[in-house]
Amino acid sequence: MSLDTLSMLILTGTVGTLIGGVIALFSGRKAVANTVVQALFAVSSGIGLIGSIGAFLGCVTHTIPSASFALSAAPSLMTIDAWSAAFLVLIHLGTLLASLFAIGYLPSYAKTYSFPTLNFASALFIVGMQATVMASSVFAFLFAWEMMSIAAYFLVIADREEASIKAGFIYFVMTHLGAASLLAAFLLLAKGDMMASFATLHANAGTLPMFTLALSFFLFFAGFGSKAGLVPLHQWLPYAHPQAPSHSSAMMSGVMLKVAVYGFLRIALGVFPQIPMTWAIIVTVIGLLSAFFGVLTAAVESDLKRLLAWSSVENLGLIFAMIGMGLIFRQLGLPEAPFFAVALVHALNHTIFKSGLFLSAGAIISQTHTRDLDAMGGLAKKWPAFSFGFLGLVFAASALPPFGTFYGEWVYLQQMAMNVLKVSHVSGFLLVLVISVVALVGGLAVFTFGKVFSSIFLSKPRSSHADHVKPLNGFMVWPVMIAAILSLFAGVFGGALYQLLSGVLTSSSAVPGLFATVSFPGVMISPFFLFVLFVLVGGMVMLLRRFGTSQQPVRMTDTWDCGQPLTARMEYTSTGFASPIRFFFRSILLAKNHMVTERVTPENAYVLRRRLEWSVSSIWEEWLYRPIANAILAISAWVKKLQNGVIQFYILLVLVTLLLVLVFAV
Amino acid sequence: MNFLIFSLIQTVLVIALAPLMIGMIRMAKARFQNRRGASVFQPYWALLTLCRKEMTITTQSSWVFRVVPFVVLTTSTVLAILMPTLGFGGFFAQASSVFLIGAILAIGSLFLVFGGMDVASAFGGMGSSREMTLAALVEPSTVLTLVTLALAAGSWNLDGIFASFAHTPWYASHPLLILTFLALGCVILSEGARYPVDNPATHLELTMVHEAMILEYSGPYLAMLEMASAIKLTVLALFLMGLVFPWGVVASGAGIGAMVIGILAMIVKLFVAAFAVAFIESTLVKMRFYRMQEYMTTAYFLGLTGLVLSLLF
Repeated sequence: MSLDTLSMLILTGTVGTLIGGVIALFSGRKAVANTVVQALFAVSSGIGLIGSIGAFLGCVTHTIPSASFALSAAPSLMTIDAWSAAFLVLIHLGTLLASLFAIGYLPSYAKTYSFPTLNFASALFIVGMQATVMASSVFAFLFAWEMMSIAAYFLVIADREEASIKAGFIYFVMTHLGAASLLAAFLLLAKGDMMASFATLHANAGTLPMFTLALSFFLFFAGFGSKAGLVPLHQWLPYAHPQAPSHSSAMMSGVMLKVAVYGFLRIALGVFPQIPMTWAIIVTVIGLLSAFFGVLTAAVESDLKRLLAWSSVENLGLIFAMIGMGLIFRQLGLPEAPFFAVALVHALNHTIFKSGLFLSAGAIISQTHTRDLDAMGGLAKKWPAFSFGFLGLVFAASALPPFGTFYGEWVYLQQMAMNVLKVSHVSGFLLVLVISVVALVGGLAVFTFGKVFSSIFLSKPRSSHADHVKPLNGFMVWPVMIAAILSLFAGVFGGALYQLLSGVLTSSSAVPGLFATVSFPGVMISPFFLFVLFVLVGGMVMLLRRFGTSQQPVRMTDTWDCGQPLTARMEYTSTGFASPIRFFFRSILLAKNHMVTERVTPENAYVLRRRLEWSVSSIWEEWLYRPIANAILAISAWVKKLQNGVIQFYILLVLVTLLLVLVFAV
Repeated sequence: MNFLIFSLIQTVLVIALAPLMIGMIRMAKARFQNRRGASVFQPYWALLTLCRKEMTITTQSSWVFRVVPFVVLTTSTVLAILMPTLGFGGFFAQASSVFLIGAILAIGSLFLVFGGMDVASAFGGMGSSREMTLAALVEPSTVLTLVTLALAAGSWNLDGIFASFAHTPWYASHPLLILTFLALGCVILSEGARYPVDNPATHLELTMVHEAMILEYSGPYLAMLEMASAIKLTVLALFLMGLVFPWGVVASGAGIGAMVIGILAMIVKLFVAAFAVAFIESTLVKMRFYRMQEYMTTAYFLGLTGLVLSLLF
């Protein structure tokens, strides 16, 4: 495809979405209007997806002449290169799935959400994300970033409930702290020129003193890290993402977080001439900490959407740990490209499966009317096909073969492990620790999603809503199925995907074959081969069962439960399931168990009833946020002493201020 | 000899010997308890009987319950295909990456857990919760020990590791790898649902993990799950034995004579492994589940010490 065609397609994706937003604003709260608008979103992102895939292939294979091309309509503001194109693919894919889903999902919430504002905010949000990854100057980037962030605020408070407004407030504060850091960092690098391009920033970065560079790097890291949900700036994410409507949560978790990854990669690889070892180590450690705390909290969480949000913290942590390790390897003089490539692979996989999971959460919650995993159960019998699709997403989220996520983590581990003996002893030891942490995170992810699937789909329903679910609308089922199938393809053709995305860095000039493998010295990673092996062995096992064993009809019986009538109260809930993890990690989770004993009267020995109270809290909230908040409150209380109500004292203050101003101004 | 035929023989042999391993463990345990015990071939009869029986399935279960035995048996069989037990250089040598094994084991655990949760009984839930926790906690040790072996052998396939250790035994090159082997032994006991992590002989809810999850299965499905469990234990045990005692390990190109010796050596190793498991089960008490983090941490630090002492310093 020619440049003009690609440019047209990508622009159509953006403009179509905007038109959809405007239509939404002027067409009332009818379900029909919503369908039209969402369909327009879906078609626009479909067109944009084709355009951005074309642009990506063009950039990777150098059929597009320079490293980047300008969009014909806005050449000075928007350009696209391989990086932008890769993330545009991600954005359009997530938007496409979410918009299709919203056609079936939103109508039943006509009373909860105001469609005009929600869809208008969605349009601005989507366009903001697209513009951020295409922006070529500081001004364009920050403008688009703010558009995305502020629109997301309106998605969070869409249902106008008290919890949402509180979550929205936390989000608003955090996102603006982040935006402020970004603005400061950009201004430092651009020497105050808001219209500077990334190329200018790169040129400037070579001349600035080390201290300024370090300051701006960590401001960037804080800004992008707070958006990506890295500890300790992750606090808003588990509050904000669950409150948004589920299709918006899917876009926020699946796509918006990746925009932060894009920003960080663009700055770290494209702007800074080099990243010293210490900075790279800090990025890696923060990434690993986020991954660990994210998955650990997800493992003990019982609110479905909040659990998924915590899992996003985990995955974004892993992505940053991959990028950080790449920066470390670059400093060590070892091959760093695989790390950036797996970060991209993982970002793509996370977009697919996390969008799918949030969408399925929306579908489930629309029928069970609760986000509490402890009140679900038994849905596999009612929605067999849907539960099968969800199971695929569970595999992807747990990083198990044959799904895409597994291959990303595999290459990551392999690449680290292969170099343990090539670096110094201490570095080798640290690498082994990193490998172990990633393995533990992987194990806990399996735990988390095993728990999620069991609690939602297996056992008896634990509430009457869960017992009386109706069949799902096709628009709610198919996006989930597509996400599951894409995750599987990302795994089965994982080698090709990895090589394709490495093209962003290594300027390869060919598109890899579909069955490509990933090769390192002495190791061959062939996802397709393994998939075939699994299928063949599975087929053989089925044949054996068919012809080698008794084929008598199955007798249906009751579950044996010691002769008692079986009720849902006897099953393990999600909370009970996670109890061992709460116990084993109690010092990190700050888990407390407390037996409350109520007596007939306080002196009487007879116990009326006992109940167990338990809680987990966030180490960051208790040990970081609370002390800071307390300090601020204490300082305020101290400053308040000035406000003593004596008018003479106030006049004195005015006079002193005036004097000081005069002294310093002259 | 053709690579494919070698792999085929190895896989079939391991699968065929798996019930024997269980029989030998039971026999040895019986002798420790001053009982005569059933024949070592009893598990074969038990499995065949199960295969011929009628199946009962609980009305509470969904399609997941019926899929579980197939997936679990498939993962165990894939392990038997990929992991070297008789010798090295088979058809699947390149595919047996060290990072794959943990993932395949995790798939098996995950589906067992689903089977336990699907029946809506408190037993199944309890076993599932425990199994999932153990599977999560053992993961770092699994990866760490296998990475250590890979680094020591200079190969990233289990097959290459097997070959390298058969060529240069560990006690000659890295004697302190004994710590890594101990750690791997702990991992295998945990994955194989054996003492001190799990009690395979109990139906007491305080102690059971694996048995609690398969409680509702019967007939052919139960046979499939029992078989899967036996294969998993046998493959892992034979892999460890082959590394620790690298005698009689066959190269895939070897002649008939070497092959026969290799198979005999394999059966002897199987016997030693079964005796070791029975010895542990007869002399140790099962650990409380809520002390499992101590066991896992011990295994992890054993592995880490092995790595540091034998490779880094």
